[in-house]
Amino acid sequence: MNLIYAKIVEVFIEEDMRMGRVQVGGAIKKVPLDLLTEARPGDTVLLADGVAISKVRPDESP
Amino acid sequence: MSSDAAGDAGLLGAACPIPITNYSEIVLAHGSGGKLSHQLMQKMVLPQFRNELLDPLHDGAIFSLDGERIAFSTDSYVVNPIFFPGGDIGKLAVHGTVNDLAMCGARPLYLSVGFILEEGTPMEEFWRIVQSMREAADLSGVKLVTGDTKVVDRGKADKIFINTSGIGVIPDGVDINPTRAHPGDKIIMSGQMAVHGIAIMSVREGLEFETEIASDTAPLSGLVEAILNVSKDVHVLRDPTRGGITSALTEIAQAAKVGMLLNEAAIPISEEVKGACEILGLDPLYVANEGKLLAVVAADDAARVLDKMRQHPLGRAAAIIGEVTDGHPGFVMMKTRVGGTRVVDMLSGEQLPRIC
Amino acid sequence: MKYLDEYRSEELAQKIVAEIHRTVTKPWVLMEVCGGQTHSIVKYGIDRLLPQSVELVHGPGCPVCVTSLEMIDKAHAIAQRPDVIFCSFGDMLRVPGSHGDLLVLKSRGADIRIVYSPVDCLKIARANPDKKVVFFAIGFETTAPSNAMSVWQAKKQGVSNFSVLVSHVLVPPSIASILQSPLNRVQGFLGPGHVCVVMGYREYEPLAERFRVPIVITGFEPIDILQGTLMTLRQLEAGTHTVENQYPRVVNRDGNKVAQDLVNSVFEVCDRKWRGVGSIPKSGYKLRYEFHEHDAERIFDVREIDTAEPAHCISGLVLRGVKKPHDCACFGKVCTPETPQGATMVSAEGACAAYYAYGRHLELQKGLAEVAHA
Repeated sequence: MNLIYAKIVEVFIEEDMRMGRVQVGGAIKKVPLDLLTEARPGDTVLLADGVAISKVRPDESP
Repeated sequence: MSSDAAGDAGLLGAACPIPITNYSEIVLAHGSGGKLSHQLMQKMVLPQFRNELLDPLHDGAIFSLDGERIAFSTDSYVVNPIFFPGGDIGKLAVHGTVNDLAMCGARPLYLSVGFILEEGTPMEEFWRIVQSMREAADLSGVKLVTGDTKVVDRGKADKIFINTSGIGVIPDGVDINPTRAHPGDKIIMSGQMAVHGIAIMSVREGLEFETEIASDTAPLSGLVEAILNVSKDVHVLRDPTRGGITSALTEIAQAAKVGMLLNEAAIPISEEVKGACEILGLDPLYVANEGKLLAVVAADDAARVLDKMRQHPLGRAAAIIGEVTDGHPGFVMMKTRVGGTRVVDMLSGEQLPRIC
Repeated sequence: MKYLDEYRSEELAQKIVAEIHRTVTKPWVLMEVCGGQTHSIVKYGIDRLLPQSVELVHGPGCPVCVTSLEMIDKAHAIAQRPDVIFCSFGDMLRVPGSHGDLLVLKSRGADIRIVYSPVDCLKIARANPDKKVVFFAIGFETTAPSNAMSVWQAKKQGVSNFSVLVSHVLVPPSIASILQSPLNRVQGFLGPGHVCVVMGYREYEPLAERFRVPIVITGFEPIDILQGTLMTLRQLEAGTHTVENQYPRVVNRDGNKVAQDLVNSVFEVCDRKWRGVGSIPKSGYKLRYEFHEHDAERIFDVREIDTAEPAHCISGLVLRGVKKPHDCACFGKVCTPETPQGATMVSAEGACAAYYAYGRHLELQKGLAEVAHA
């Protein structure tokens, strides 16, 4: 089980699922975006086990 | 010894020395380059063959023949898939043994090759691998001088396995040996870590992710020659392949009975590899490198060796990543990014993705 | 990388550490709930940056660790079948059941595959129509959406050869169980950030009120953990006990409703047995009846097997924050990641395994702790 931050570069539909190509550092992965109805390219999202479960709010900094 | 164990010894000649609580059969982690590999060698193989050339556990054996110092090394290649970004099993097999010889300070001269082929492997793939080996041998300046080929039933091997052994000559005045690591020495890494392992993982079935990362496999003999030309005080060389830089450095620390202190922030790593490690839940300190070396160098020569490395195409991202200490012999410590300190241990088992 | 590097900054870490030292006037015991937090703490040596009077004890939040022995044995029974492709997160492969682990079964020929997402199993199932593809669906609330999604999609797309072996667990009942124990020493919690991404943190409010403990929902990077620690300590020093959110960049009070709806349509709450702890009422998820065609327990009719933990293992106490890994006589000796004796050594995120991986067993032997503290 794995939790990572990733940036959406593209949103598309595949096999009836809302999918995204997301970028982690320099690597790109395909993940379902079904649980984030309003996520758009450019958004950073949190992935849990290969599924995006939350948008990351861009204005938060430590 | 319990009477049961003595009984077993009577039947089999020697009792299996791996404790009963451990695996009773070979599992993949025995080949990971981490603790289980180490244990398998230490407990089962080495005691049977004990001798002064084997015992130092260098990347190769070093001995004299007719006044010349010779390095001799062997390695087997079972990588899956056999073609991967940046290389293939053939290239890896040539570079790997060339590099093992280079890590002894030797100029590689001759290689042998043994092929184990699976019935049904496309001829075209075998041809591509042989071509690739020829290119790699030419680039490394070695001659392939003897070989063997065996074919096994379909399913009894995975397309192609390759063993290479090699011989090289060590120039006068060069003395590279893991036991020479000395407190105060600097530890130099020749480039970005974890590239090869991640390149392989990126094309493994089921793990696919898109990346530009290509294997860093390359012959290191040229880089070694360059740094030996500027310093006679290179004490240890090691190419951190399986088990990553942690296994390599722990082995050196144990052999030389010295400690090491690494600076996490100084270890070179690319954004691509960092990202892929996040995706896969891997710690890059444990991920395999090919075409990278660790050099333990006297402090006075470190800057000169670093400069020379950075002028070489294979050492542009070289950096000093830590130093040898006289405290905590046998252990590698690391100052973490946030300023804490911890022990960096050898890989325990196969490195598997993290959970949570 | 964005959202990572700024949360691993040494300069900021030192600032928060200094503030923690200024805040603390007496000894406190804090528990970080998640295995991922434990991992970060030990990996970055965070506990060593804190005042000696602040003790971090490690919580039950490692799903691999708490998966019961019966479930592991059921998984092994299924994985051994020649008609099965058994898919799992990597960490489950080394978890010992009554008879070895999945790696041993693999070495004997079982088709066992590591996946990063349960959704990937659907692809494997479609590519292998003559096989039954089973995913070992373990985890806390964080993992529930992806597991639920795989089952939901399998039903919708008619992937009939895909099933899940479900052993889901829930955080709030385990926190209640820890606080109710007469052995409890925990005075404040770093709450489970990623669980709350999905679930929100409303359900922690009654816990904080009832047990009068501060709970600070906390992230997983070093800066997150230091900030969460500071916020919890401030509450303890001030005598307050509310739920606060250190992790607002991904957590809000209500969580992800779409994900919750998906989880609730696929799973229902059930009693669940925790390895090393025992049964906790209403502490897990099981598949709803509507999805029974994808229920591996039903399909393969795996019978209950009852196996006891080794008596010398204190993992139950470690999971509840009563003991630390190095309090155990077995730690780093008979019990190592190669020869785990119990729950907390089996997964990389388990407290014992984290201590081992980051060299604390070596420190015990060699007195290296002084070096690390220096």
